[in-house]
Amino acid sequence: MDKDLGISIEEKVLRIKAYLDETLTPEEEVEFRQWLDASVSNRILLDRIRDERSLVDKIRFAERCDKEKGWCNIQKKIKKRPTIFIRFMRYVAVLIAIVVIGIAVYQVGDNPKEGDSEFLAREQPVPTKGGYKAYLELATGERWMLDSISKVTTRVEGAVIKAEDKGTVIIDEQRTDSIIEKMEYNRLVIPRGGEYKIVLADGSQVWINSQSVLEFPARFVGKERRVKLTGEAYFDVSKDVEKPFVVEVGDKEVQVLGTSFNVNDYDGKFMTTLVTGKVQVSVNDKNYILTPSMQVRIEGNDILVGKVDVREFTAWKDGLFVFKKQKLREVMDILSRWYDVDVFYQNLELQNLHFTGTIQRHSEISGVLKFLEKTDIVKFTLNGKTLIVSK
Amino acid sequence: MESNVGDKLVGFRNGDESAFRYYYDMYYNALCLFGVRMLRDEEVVEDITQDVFVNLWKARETIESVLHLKMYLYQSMRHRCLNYIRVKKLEEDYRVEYALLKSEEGFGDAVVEEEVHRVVMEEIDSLPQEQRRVILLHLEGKNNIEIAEVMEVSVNTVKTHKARARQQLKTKLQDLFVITFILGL
Repeated sequence: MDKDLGISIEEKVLRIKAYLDETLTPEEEVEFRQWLDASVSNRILLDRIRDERSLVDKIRFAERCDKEKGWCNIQKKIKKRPTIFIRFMRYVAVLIAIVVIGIAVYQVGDNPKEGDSEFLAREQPVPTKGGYKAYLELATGERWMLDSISKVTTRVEGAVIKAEDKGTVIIDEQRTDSIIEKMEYNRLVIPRGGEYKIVLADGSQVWINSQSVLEFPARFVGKERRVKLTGEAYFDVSKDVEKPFVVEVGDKEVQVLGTSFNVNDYDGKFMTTLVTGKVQVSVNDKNYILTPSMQVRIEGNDILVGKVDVREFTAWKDGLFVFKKQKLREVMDILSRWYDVDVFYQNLELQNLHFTGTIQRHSEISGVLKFLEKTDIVKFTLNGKTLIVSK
Repeated sequence: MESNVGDKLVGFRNGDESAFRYYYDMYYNALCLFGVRMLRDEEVVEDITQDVFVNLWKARETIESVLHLKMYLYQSMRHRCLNYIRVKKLEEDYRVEYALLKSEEGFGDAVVEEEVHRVVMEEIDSLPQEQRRVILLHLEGKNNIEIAEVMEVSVNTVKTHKARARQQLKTKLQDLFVITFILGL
């Protein structure tokens, strides 16, 4: 059956290619048109193939694909068992290392164990720390992968979108003669292990955290400035009394005139923390007005409003993790998004332990885990991208 | 040309790595593209594609024909992507894509599209390097002056490269709409 499917696919490919190249004979062409009229899906298929835009996107994608790296990865997986020569060379390498470490110990009196473990540790793949990573998806269907070195400049109606500075997308409004009526939303998608910043058309700045999506128009048309968020972002909104700025988070809304605040909505837990200015959070027709250092927290039907230490909730954008009597479970959720690891608990009670401390967000995961282990109540075992938490 | 592809298959089945690389070059991008129709995360798609190739290599002795190899690749890609959506519980996010790839017809049409585009892209890829580069820079949204700057050549040279590329693709692709679009001519 698979074979039949394969043959029919092959025939269609040849037929369509010949049609596009105009090499069909008149009889074949009649047959081709009959096939085309036979079902709507055939017509759709041909239209899709003829869609120049999609082809251009594909060529762009192919350019982004790292074929060589892909090949290396495959080689690594295929050649798990190295040749005798390589295995022999490994022994040699270990011997040399032992001798070198030995000399180092002899000369400096260093601790040999540390050098040894570092040498062995190199064999295991380690999760990399988070960094500038994002996907920019325009309403037109164009799509780019962004990292710290990407350079993208593209024009949409009434604006230029640029990703040139490290980790930042900038939208520049352009003068147009035509009146733009409909607003189309573009998306900035941040995967696990990523963060990115965007400067919107009105100059407002948004820092977006891992595993989040911000939907935004290229320019704000109408009475308000509306964006949509899932995940977490820190907003520094430009003041415009005439045009309130609205962040839509599922069925909730945060409305402001000009101010800075953090919105966090992971795993059904919604939090807005105000830094400066004033915001109004609306949920189910109820409004909550926040003043600086106030936070509203919504989980299911529970709504909590209170004062907090703002730093704890906004430090991420300045490159820090700040934990204050935070549950291990919450700490690990944050780490799993940033380092893109899956966390398993050997004992679920461990999730309720509390932690306090400040850690550099841009340190390697091993450093962060060592720091947490200093409390002597938990132990971590990292196995590839799986992190096991035990007593 | 087909027989040439067939010769490679014998080598591939016997464990010739250069033959493996040959098929890898031929299908890697196409499979990734097929994957991103379903999953929007490019990194995940690339990982899945690599796994598909690893398994193809392990199963090389069972591959009977070039067509078999092609179908093996697309089918594995399809099942792995569907599986990924299921395991990660993303059915809601990918409802349309999921339903489409689950149906035999939707799958068949997706492969046809990918295969035609694969051949067209191969042809664009076969252009001399300078011409190809001009086209790709053009795709990045650069105008003639900017392209000339990047390539450190004169604007006239850029224009010549564009004209030549158009000529060459026209003889190969005939009405392929693409050319006029790509070159903005």
